[in-house]
This record gives sequence, structure tokens and C-alpha cells, in this order.
Amino acid sequence: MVGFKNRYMVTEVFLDPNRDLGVDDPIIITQYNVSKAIKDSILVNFGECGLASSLGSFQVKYLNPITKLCIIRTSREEYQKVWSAITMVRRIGNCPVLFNLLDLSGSIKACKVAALKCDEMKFEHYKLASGAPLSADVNQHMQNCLEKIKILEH
Amino acid sequence: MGGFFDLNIPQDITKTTRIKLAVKAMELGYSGIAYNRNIKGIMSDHDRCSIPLLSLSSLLDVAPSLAFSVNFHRDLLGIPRSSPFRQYTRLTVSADTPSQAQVLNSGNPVLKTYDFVAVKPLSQTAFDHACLKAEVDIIAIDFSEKLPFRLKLPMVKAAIERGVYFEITYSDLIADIQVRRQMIPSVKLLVDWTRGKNIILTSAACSVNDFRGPYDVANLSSLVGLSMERAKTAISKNCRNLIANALRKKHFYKEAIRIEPISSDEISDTKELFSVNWPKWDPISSGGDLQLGDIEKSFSATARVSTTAKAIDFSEVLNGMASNGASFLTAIQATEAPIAISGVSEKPGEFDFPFETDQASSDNASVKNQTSSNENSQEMNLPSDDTRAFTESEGSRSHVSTIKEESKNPNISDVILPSIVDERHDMQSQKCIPSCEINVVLLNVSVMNQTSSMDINNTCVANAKINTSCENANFLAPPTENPSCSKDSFVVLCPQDVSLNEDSMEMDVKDQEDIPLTEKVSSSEHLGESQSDLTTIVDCVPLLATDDTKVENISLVANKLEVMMDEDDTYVTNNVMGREHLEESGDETITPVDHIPLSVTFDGMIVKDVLSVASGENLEKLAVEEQEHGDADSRRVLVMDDDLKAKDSSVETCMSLEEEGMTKQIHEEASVESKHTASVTFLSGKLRAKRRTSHKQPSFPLKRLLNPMAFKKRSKKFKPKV
Repeated sequence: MVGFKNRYMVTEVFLDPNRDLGVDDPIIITQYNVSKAIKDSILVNFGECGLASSLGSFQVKYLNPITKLCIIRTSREEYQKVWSAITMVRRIGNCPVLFNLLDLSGSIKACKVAALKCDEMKFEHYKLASGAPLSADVNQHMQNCLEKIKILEH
Repeated sequence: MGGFFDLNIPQDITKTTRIKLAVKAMELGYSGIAYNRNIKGIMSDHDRCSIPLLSLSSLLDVAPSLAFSVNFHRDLLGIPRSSPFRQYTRLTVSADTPSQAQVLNSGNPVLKTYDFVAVKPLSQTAFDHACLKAEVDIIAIDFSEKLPFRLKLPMVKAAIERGVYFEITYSDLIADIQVRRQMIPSVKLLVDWTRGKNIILTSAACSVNDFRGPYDVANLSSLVGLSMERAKTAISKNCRNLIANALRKKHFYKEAIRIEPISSDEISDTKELFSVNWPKWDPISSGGDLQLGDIEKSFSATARVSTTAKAIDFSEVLNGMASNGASFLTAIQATEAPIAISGVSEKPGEFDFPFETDQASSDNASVKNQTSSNENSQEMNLPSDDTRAFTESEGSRSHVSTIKEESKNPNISDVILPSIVDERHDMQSQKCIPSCEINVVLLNVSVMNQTSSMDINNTCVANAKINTSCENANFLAPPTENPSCSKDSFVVLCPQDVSLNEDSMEMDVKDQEDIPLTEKVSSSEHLGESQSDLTTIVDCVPLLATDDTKVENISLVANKLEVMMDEDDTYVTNNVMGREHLEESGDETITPVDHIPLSVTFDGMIVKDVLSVASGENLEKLAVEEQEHGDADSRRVLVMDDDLKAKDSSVETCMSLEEEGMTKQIHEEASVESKHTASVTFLSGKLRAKRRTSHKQPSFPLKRLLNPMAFKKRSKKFKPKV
């Protein structure tokens, strides 16, 4: 059957947890940012070989900059190491961050389901937190992201 | 399942940081946090707990949409949305020399003002002392520097056996790279020696950046060799056990009795008291719980909660009382020694049965543990035992409960319950001692003095803590709780069959007024079963509430006892009226109250049906007798603890509790029984039902309701012992 066994982690990112209310996001996270930060963390904590062995399946599959939700895929053998490394990520660029795992699944399908649910909830939260008016393109962007989840593949 | 707890949030950081940390903890799905304070050297009175607990409003200021986020995360983690967010206080004492470590004993009043106590050994001798003797909950080793001592396997093993937890802090791992190199080998060694047991994972996060969610933390510990399963228990179940244990030790006298004050308004209307619904007893609550309901509701709730700044429940009780005007609740807590579970303490503030206290509780205060320094001394301080379990039955108003207690045998917690029936308690009965007045309700109070010999810890009923007052009443009632309780060790009602009925023992700490508490400790027979359950006490509450008349209860109890006798469960029905002798072997129903409790004129004695667990809980008549003798009948109370455990085995032992007039005997027996006493089993459903039906008129409580034959039997049994 399928040779590659993966783990899909749905995590949320808290940017600058120390900041006060009302301050905007200090940075915009992108798939590249997050991926680099995690890889650096693996390198520091697990060394070259650790990084190399987890690099095979490691990928940030999805990232929503509004709700700060991201889906990360790793191999099944290495997922605990990568997860620890993710937990130990302290900053992205200059901005201190906090990763929190929301869901861990073995198939992309289950991951999609979980991610959709989390994303919607987080979007609700975002709307609550940011106050009433929500510009149209934010909504649009959000819809795009949700679509992206639905077409995710392994 | 239980929630996740983070038991180490440094307190010496700015308030805004603390608020942010608390917000983050809530958001990430933690169910409780503890604020930690470090001290080194000599403790003085200044060091009493002065950590302000945060209120929900302050948290909401920082994060208005907190509720939404919390709910979201809680759903993900599988935690019920409505469970409160708890705050605790903790003290970490750095100990360098053994002499410094000596302060960590149970007599230290400063320590009692905190919810937990941790020791941070800095030398080999201090570490050895901490593992072997120190009365702490947590051993916190600072792994970030090279360890100045070796972790030896026998020491670690001894500590685990005693029930002390080792703490591993993870924020250093995250924060500093060099520190990781130092930390991980030492922590690995500790994990190897402990095999992963008795470990709790905490952050010692100085800022929010170093804080992580529960599952992330569990995964981090895989780096040091903890399996995922152990890691999850380290962050949830172990913490919860630790909290329950610590709070039980703190709030219950000898882990059996807790007294909560009833406001004086309530005293007049004793009948009503029984009908008041006892609020659910929260075994691990320590004031400072934040309920995240609707924002509006939470605001009001917070306002109330935040008044109870102190960890001690009593203050909260008082506050609650003030706000609710609720009667006191005496919760009988059955706790098993090793298992934190059973210690259920009722939420302070509600006390169903009326206490009568003649005087201000000043006296009581003295009696109470020092811990309750902040609040009315609701706990009775039994001089002799460390363990709290003491069942004090109220009894004579005039007696100073404290005195009685003091006079009790060291083994036995003296309960001054003139009329209180000793309850066997596996469960620790809480005595509610109103600060102002305590209505001694009990006729039924069966003071479980059994505790005398036992450490109260053990008495806890395996399953449930029994709310003394209410529960007793409820015992008779059909076991509503059972279903809920079944799992839990608490449930006073103990579905498991072990129902500790503890007569509410009311201690009149304050003034020794009769403490009507009749704690019924029903040791659940099946102690073994539900030990792990912590929370079912709540169930008990409803039971108790239904009891309107204590007297009735008593009679009911008596009757029930007889009925119960057939059953396996040993019911301890403590009749306030007379001292009921503990039944020797669980089979017997509660010994009828031979002597009506003498001076017991508890107004509101709550008859707790203490069904002696078959295993051998005997009702202790101590209450009655003791009153006469004025000894503190610790044994009664004590019964609770051990009994539960011992129930099964100790049928014999328990039984013989006190013969009338044989206080000494009682003591002896109590000790014996104490093991069993706890086995007051809450009435099982049928029992409860029976109880209900056999509601008695408020006749003299001391009348022997039970079948005289039974009594006779008992006396026979006692004879040889005499």
C-alpha cells in the first residue's frame, strides 16, 4: 500500500504572546517563515542528522495568516522529535512566538476535517477580538484559505 | 479525564505578567495553576501566604474574548466547558541544611497558609531529609545547574512511597540552550529512578513566551525518557492527586472532618437547612476558582470568588455564607490515605445542617487548625494527630470542642459530640463550625472517632467523601448519586456500596457548643473501588439536603442500620443520640444509640446515616459517649479514614467501637475500628430509599432506634473487649 506514513499536525501560532491588547501582529507569518524557524529549531536541538532525517517528509502544508493556523506534515518515525522542536521554537524572526498543537492525525483526510473546524472557530475568535468591522478582503482571504484546506493532498 | 494543571507559576513577577500568564494558561486549556513563592532561610510570620489570586475581571480586561478561546481549546482537549479554572498557592522552601529542612513539618503554621508546600533541597542531607521525612507535597529540584547532590534510588523510592511528587520544570528547556545540556541528563536520571511515577511537569515560566500547552509539554518530556502516557498523567492525573491530597490535609482535620460555619441566620431554621441544597462539594477547590460562564455571569461569579483570596476554604465558606446565607455543610470526606481521591471536601459555605454554637467561634478558632488562621477556625485541631481525620461530633454545646479534642487520645480525634454518633468514617466528615454559631445538629452525628488510631488519611472512604450533614440525610434517600459516584471514590453516597455515612460531626470548635454535626461516615465498602475518584462528592450533596430532620435521620439511620445489616455494606449510622457503638463487623447495623447523647442538644443535628460498612465500620457511639466523657473522640472521626480501606478487612475491628461509658474502650476500639470506621457506607440506593421512608419524627435523637437486639448483640461483642 502506501509506503510513506505521515503525521499531520494542526497547530496554532501565537505571535508575541506578551503584547497588549489591540496591537497588530508584529509580523506576517508565511509558510516559509514558519518552516525555516522549525528547521532551525531541529538543527539546534537534534543536529545535522536529526534535521536530515526529518527533512524527508517535513513540510508546512497550509498556513492561514489571519487565524494563524498551520498544518505541518512529518514522517511517522520522526514526528515526536519534530513536535518537540516545534514546541521549542521561541521566535520567528524577531517576534517571540508560541506554538500550540491542536490536533494530530495520521491521514490527510482527518487532518482536513480538524483543520476546517479549527479554522472556522479561530476565525470567529478573530472576529470577536478585532471588533465589528471586518473588511471584505479579509473575508475573501479567509474563504480562499478554507478552500485551500479542502484541496489539500498528501 | 481530569484537567491539566500547571503548578508552578512564579509569583515574584509583575502583576501584568501574572495576568498574562494566567490568561494564557486558561486559553491553552489548563484547568488550574498554582502561584509559587520561593523562600529561603528562616520563615517568619511575614511569610504567610499573601499571594493575591486573580479575579476573572482582571483577566478579562486583558483578553475580552477569553471565554471563546477557552471554550474552543477545552473542546479540543476534551475538558468540559464549565469546569472552573482553579488557582492555588504554593510555597517552595529552599533547604540547605537539615536544620532548615526541619521546619517542614506539619506543625508549622506558616506552611499551612499555602495550599501546597514544596522543598528545594540544596544538599545531599537536605535531599535525604526531604525524601524521607519532610512533610511536603512536592520535591522541586533545580536541574538547571549541576546537581549538588546525587539522586539515590532508595531515597527516591522512599519518597514515592510516601506520596511525594518530584517536579520537573520545562521552561528552562525552552528558554535557554545551554541549560538544556545540563538539565536533560539529570532529569533523565530522575525519570529512570522513579520509573516515571510520581512526577509532575510544571513550567516555572517567568514570561508567557516560555509557556506551553499541555500536550506540548507532555511531548517535551519524551526527550527525557518519559513515555507519552506517563507524561500525560504527569501533567494531569498526578497533579490532580496532589492537589486533592494537599487540600484534604489542609482543610480537614485529620483528613476527616471539616467544619464549615453556618451563618447565624440559618441556625434558627434548622429544618430549612436540610432542605437547602448543598452546593456541590468541590474536592479540589481552594477558593479562587474562576468560572467561565457567560461573561456577565462570570463577572458576578468572580466578584464572589475573588473575595476568597485565601486558599483556605473556610474563608470562602464564610464568604459564601455571607453571600448565600447557606448553611454549613459538613462534608465528610472519606479519604484513603494513599489515594488522594477520596478526599472530598465540600465546598465551603454550604453547610446543611445547622450548627448550634452558643458562642462565638472564637474558641473554635483556636481549636481549628492553624491553617485556618485566616478564617474561622473551622477545622478542629486535633492535637494528637496530624491527620486530619477527626470526627468530631458536636455534641455538647458547652463543651469546648477544642478541649475535647485536645483531650482526646492521641489516636483518636476527640470529637466533642455529646450526642453525636460517631461515624465511622472512611470518609472524613467535615465539621462545619460556624464562626458565629454552630448549631449542633446532630443527633445523628456520628463522630467518627475512629480516626484515633488511624491516620486519617486512610480513612477516606474509598469512594466518596461524604458530606456529613447532607449526606446522611441523603443516604437514606435513594442513591441518586450512585450513578455519578460510582466511579468516584467520593460520592458519599457511594454507589459503590461503600457509603460512608458519616454523621456529620459537628464540632463545636468554637465554643464547644454542641456540635450537632453528625457526621455520618459511611464507609463505603467498596472502598477499593472508587478510590480514584475525586469528584463525586457532589453527588452526596443532594442527598444530604434532603434531610430535614436530623432526628429523623437518626432514627432512620438506626432503622436503616438494621435493615442494612443484611446488606453487605456496613453502614454506620451514627446516631447522635447515643453513641453508637461501632459495629463490629460491618454486618451489624449501627448500634443503636444506647445512650442518648448526653448533653447533646444539637439543634440541628443532622443525622447522618452512617452506615457502617460491612467491613467493619462501626458506628461509634463515641459521639454520645464521648460527650459524656468529654474526651475528644477522635476515634470517631478517625474512623473515617482508615475504615474505608480497612473496611473489607476490618469488619471486626471497627465494630467494636464504643461501648457506652467506655470511652477508653472506645478508644481502643476506635483505633481498631478506625480502620473500619471509615466504612460508613453511604446508603445505597435502597438504603436511601429506606431512609426516606422511615423518617422519624424529631424525637429524642438518642433513643435507640435500632433494634435493641442488635444492640445487645453488640454489647455482647463488646463484652470481651471490655
